[in-house]
Amino acid sequence: MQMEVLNFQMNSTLFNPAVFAYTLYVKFADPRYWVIPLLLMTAPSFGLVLTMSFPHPPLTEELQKLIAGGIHHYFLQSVVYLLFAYMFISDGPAGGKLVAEADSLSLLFTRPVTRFCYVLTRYLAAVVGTSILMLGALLLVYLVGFCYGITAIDISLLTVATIVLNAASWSSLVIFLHSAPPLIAIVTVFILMGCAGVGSIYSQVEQSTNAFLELLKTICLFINEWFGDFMPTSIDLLAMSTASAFDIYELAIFVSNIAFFILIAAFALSCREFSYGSE
Amino acid sequence: MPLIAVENLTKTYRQGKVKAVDNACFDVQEGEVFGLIGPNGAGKTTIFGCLLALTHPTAGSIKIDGMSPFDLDVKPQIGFLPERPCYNRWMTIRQFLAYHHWMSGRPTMEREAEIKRVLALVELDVDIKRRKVKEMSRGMLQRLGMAQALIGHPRIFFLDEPTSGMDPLGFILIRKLLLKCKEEGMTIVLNSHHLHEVEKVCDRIAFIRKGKIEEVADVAALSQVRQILIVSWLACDIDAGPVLAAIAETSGCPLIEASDETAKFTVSGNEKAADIIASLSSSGLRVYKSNFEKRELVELFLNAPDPNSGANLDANGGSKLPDE
Repeated sequence: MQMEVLNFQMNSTLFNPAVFAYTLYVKFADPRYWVIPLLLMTAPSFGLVLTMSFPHPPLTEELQKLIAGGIHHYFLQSVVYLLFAYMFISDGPAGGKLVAEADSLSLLFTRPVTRFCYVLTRYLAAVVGTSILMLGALLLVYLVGFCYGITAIDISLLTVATIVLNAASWSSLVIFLHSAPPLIAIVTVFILMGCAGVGSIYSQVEQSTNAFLELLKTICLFINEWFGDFMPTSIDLLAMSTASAFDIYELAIFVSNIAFFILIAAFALSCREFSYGSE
Repeated sequence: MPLIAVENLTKTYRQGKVKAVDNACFDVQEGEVFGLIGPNGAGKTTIFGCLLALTHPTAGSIKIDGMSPFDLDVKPQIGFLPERPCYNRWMTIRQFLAYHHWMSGRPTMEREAEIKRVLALVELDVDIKRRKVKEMSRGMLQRLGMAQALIGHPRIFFLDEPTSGMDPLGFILIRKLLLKCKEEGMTIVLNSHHLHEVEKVCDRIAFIRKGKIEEVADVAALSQVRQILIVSWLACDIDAGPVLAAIAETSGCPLIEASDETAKFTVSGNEKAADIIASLSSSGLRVYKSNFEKRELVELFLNAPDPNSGANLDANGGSKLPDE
């Protein structure tokens, strides 16, 4: 059994357990990296629960649903996922020092770790780390709410899956931003956002007689459809499940978005040249 | 078959406008210590980048044990000490070494013993394991880098400026360590400005300038081949000047310096030296003393035919070439 595990470690080109473990370890070993995010996530919900429950005990079912809806909405905020994913993907507490980051990466790539393996492993670590933080915060909020008699806060499997999927979505964007050279990454994201924005406007314009304009419109509409007005799209499985029909198409677009960013992240990192010295 | 074979390696930047490496060819045999020397910006680090698969060559080929450096099977055979020790500063020394041991795919059960072994090799106290990387001095970081590179008994050891930032004791340690690695049959590729160190450790060296490998030479042969012959003769009435010039021309050994009773020639081998002494005697000069002056590698490097070169000795007695 031991030998099999070792063999997996040696030959795995998709996942590196050392990179995965250390990416998570560096953040969770330092309380600043999980206590502060947990507080930031739970504080508004605590405030909501406390202010709503004190003047009106016991809470009506309607008010409980309102609080639960607010909390659910708060846990779907894209920017939170973006920040958490960045926190896990950036290199160590010294993150932000690009030279140091590039240097430690160049040393890493002299080990048997492919660049695709690095991207995928770092991405998975970010998804797991972000999900743990978000789910931990949700559980805390649920427990506090429960103490105050609020039972409507949803911690069902669908909510858990929604959080994990959103973490997966935003982590894919961040791993791309981390892997590509900064200028290329930012320009790419802005081009996609711009096309999506133009597509959004075009969708309200009537058909044009100019073939070129019509082609441009089709492309922008496609990008808009695929990436949304701002990307990557967030998903709410709970809302989807309560809709009349489960939107498989939306889920497919969502998953393809993630795959797209991981692939271009791996491509960008493979093209990157690392110089570790003074030249 | 050489362990490392580099053929026509070219690396350009800015759509070919900047040639960092120009058609470089060399090979490194198994168990050999090979040095790359040249001024800053000569292309040494770019060659290292290509050998370590950190940079994609524009043209040419590199084979390490018959495989591309990008091949995953090559990586476990490599140990690399970077010039700038930018390691994961937040880690403790144990964590840092354990991380690299894990990444290199070595058996988990060997980890602690291996960490102990490499720490002992670089003469770092085992108790230091709990200290954080960010608390270490530059010289200690260099030792840590060596320890990291030696994890898992690599077959090929790439060192970029190994003595950078080290005190004299560190110099001695590195030399001792490299010689030990050499004894164990490890192949070492060294990139250094400290030419004295290179000379003491390397079997062969490649002189690089402006991306081109000017010469690959055997260090032992270099000191034999390019010697300075100093001859002294008894004072006499013969005008030595024309005689010396004629001997220098016929023997092909340049005359470096001459006075009334002594002369210095650059000679390539003992036979040439004997010829010169015989010619002097036959010209009527009564030679009473002759000896060789060993030329340092730094002198050979400085006398290479590039008008832009120059050097200044650094504090450690090595030679530090000026920035271009």
